[in-house]
Order: sequence, then C-alpha cells, then structure tokens
Amino acid sequence: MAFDELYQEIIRDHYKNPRNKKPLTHLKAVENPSCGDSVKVQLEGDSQQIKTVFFDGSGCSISMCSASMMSELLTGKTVPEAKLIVQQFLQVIRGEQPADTLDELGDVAALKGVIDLPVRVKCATLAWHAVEQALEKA
Amino acid sequence: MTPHQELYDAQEKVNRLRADFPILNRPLVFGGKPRPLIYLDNAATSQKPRLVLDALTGYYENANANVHRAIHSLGEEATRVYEGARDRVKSFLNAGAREEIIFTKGTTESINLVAQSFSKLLKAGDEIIATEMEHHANLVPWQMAAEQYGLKLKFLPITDEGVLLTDKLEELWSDRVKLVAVSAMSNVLGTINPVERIIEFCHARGVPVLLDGAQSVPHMKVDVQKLDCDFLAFSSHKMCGPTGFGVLYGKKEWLKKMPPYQGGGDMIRSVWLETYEANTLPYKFEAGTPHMEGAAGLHAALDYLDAVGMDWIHRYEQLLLAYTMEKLVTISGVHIYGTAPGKGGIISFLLKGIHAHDLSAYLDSRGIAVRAGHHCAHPLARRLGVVSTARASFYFYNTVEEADAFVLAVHDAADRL
Repeated sequence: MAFDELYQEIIRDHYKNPRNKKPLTHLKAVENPSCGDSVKVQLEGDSQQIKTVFFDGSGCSISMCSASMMSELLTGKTVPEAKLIVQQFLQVIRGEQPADTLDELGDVAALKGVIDLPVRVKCATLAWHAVEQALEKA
Repeated sequence: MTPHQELYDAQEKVNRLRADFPILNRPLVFGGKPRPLIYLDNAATSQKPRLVLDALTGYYENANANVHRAIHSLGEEATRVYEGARDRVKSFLNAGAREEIIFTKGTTESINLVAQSFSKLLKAGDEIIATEMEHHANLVPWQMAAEQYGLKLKFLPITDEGVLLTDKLEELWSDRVKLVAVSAMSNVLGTINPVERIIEFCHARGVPVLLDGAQSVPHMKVDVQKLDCDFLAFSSHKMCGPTGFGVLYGKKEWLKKMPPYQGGGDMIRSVWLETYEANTLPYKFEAGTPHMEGAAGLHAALDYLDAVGMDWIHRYEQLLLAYTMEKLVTISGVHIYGTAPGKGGIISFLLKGIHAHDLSAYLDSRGIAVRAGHHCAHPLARRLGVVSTARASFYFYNTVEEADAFVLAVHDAADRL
C-alpha cells in the first residue's frame, strides 16, 4: 500500500497534535523494544464509565497517532462499549474482520493501511494493548 | 580532475556488474506503484549474481549425493564439490591449512561454536574481553558461556564517534583474561577496528583473539596469516553467497584442543554405545549432513568476488561513502552515528524529530531499501543514546545514481514527515 495511504493528513495531524496526551510518569509502559515505541494509558472515570482516556509515550508516527486516535475514540464511552471497540480494532488489524469495519470508528479508519504492512501492525496496536490492559483493571 | 572523478570512472564497471544480478533488475512492486529497486541494505544481506544462482541449481542437477563415504561415483563428485569449496575458502583467506576451515551455518553459529567449545577449556573466574559495539552474535554467546562456566565479561568502550578505545585494553587486562572477541567492522557504525594492534597486544600476553568478520570479509581483502587472528567468523550470505552457510577459521593449535561442539554423524571416527572417538579436523566440528549447495554457492561467490577484486571493492565503497556523506551532511537535521576515520560503507543516521521507522517507510515508498531498528546491537544503541536508527549500507553494485536518489529522498523526508 502506498506511503501516502498510510501517512495521510489525519495521521500527521494526530502525530503533531496528539489528543489527551499528558505525562504519566507513575505508570509502567507497554513497549516494543525492537523499535522503541512506548505507550502508557490512564483511564479516568469509574468501573462503568470512562470520562477521559489519557496517554503518554514516544515512538514512530503510527504508534503515537494510533494512541491519540484511540484516546479520542474511547473517551466518554462506557467500559463495555470501550472493550468491544478495542476487540473490533484488534481483529480488523489482524485481518480477522474486514477493513471497512473501521469506517464507523472515525479517524481510526485512517489506520486501515497498516493491515497490509505486517511490520507496522505492532506500532498500530501498541496503544490498544495498553488500553486493553487498563480496561481489564477497571 | 573533478572531485569524485575516480568514482564516476568506476560506474562503467559497476553497471556491467549489476547486469549479473537478476534481482537488481526487477522493480519493487510490494505496496504502491512499481519503482526501481535501490537496495541499500547490504549489511543485512547481499544480492546474488547469476554465477552463484547457477552453482546452487547446478549442484542439484549434476552432483547431488551425500558426502564423504559414499563409495559410489556421485558421492565422490558431491564430496569434490564440498571439499573443493573448503580449499577455495582456504585460498581466499590465505589460511595455512584446510583443517583450519570449518563450515557452519554462518557467523552466529561460528561464534557460538567457539564460545561453547573454547570455554570448556577455561576455569570459573577466567575472563573474556569484548566491546561495547558488538552485534548480538558476538555478545550473547559469550554471555551464555559466562553464565554456564562462571566466566567474567569485560568490555572495551567506544567514543561518541564510534572509535574503539583500544588503549583501555591495558586497563581492563588481568592475568585471567583468556580470549578477546572483537568485531573487525561494526555493522552499525561502519568502524573498521585496528585489529592488528589488538592481536599484537593480546599475543604478547599469550591470549587468542576472535574476529567477527561478518561485515569485513565481504568488503575487503582478509589474509588470516598476515592478521594472525586465532579465530575468524563470517557468513556466505553477506558476500553474494547463499544463506545458511558460513565459515569459522581457527588456528589448528586451538581447534585441536577444543572439544567438539555438536555431536552426530561425520564428526566421529568410531562410536560405541557409551562413548565416541571424535574425528580429525575439520570434520570434528562438522556434525551431520552438510549444506552442500551452500558450499557450491559460496565457492562460486568467492570466484565472483575475486574476479571483481576485493581491493577494488573496498576502494569503490570508500569512494561511494565519501560522495554520499558529503551530500548527506548538508541536509539540515541529519545526524550520522559513526564517524570513525577510514570507516566502511555503512551509514546509520536519523533526521531530527523523525522516528527511524517513519523515515525508512518513506524511503521505501521511493524504492530505497534501508533498515531501521537497533540492528542487533541493543547495548550499542543505548550507548549512542538512541533506540532505533535508519541504516544504509553499500556494496560494490550500488551506483552514484542510487546514492543521489538516497540523499534526495532523505532530504524530502524532512518535508514529508
């Protein structure tokens, strides 16, 4: 898939202007040691309702913008809704569900291109694995 | 005489050589529009000329049988191919004896062989000196041996420019040091280490030296008798030969003392139910049916490289590197990792504010193959203060046009990302 398909304006926008990003020094990061992508996720809310999803981290533009898109998408959702969306995203990226399923998920649809690039799948899913862990503990 | 005239004059030979490599003439089609392949990942693996490809299929079409004790004629032919390759490697390295050429799966296995086998001669508390710049293949086997045999590992440091601080050898030294393992050329920094000096220092103290030649042997002439190294490891696939095949050169005096590495057929003379008698060198260290077509392929690769000329290859890469570096450093925000004088044709770099993966993905969209990551040298990456870098690495079939395209793409990446 073309470089342009993956690195669209939306992705560049989320990379340069990440949503809901703030320092989360007290948390342990989910990392990809081979490339250095690193993400931390904090859920604000209660066990049923997410008020805001915050993230912190550093890494390539795919990993960081995926984190930003994830935080924007899941902010304000109920915990069960959020868990469903996370599973949906991971299944699509793994090729287990059709790519167009992402179209209902707003900006996240821009990550469709990653499906054809196995090497970047880890980048795109890092933040989602981190929020998956956080949702388990909610 | 314009600057780089020698480089331009060499392009005619380079373009002739490129025609020998089928893969260099196919466009990249994976993802996106077809674009010409600009292959700059030679430190990872090299491309293969038709001569080598023909040797691989030729082996199976003409001479395939199991080697060594077949008695039948085809077995004799296969043995001639395999042992003929051994003689060819011996002459390529100017080794003293064919018993000193051991065929392995590659550099990594060669070093594991020495780490495991040589360490059995040592005592707990004995020391091995390596360096901060090593590839994991010349680091992890020693870590494993250290854990298994109670050895202590020490490391020669480097400067920020990627120069090995060989003077520190004196400081690190003790009478427990039993081996020094060092890379002849860094796969990240391109630094060509002053191994002659290190070997002289160590031999004066009766200590052997192992060289990781994975990056050096493919790119310059190596004479093991002149170098006087005790062990040299390298891989076929980085020098126009097939994968899964490589060499451990070891001085007879050491190989004779070292116990076998793997057990099985061929490395034995006789076997009873409870014991075995090891075979003579080199077979003692070659267990199981060997990678016969690997030997045929490497033989052809060495013939090809000698025809091209190892000294010419080294000179050409120096010229291409100087040309590329001159242009690359003018790009604002570029940072080069590894600026040792006289280094080899490897450029590890970053653009300020851009992650190595994004940079490499962009270069890929322009048809340029480079590698991003820690390049199997995690401790070195940490020492340099990075997690991942992009790396372009040349071989003798890369052209000035390719270098220009590479520099232009890096320049454009700064705008696009």
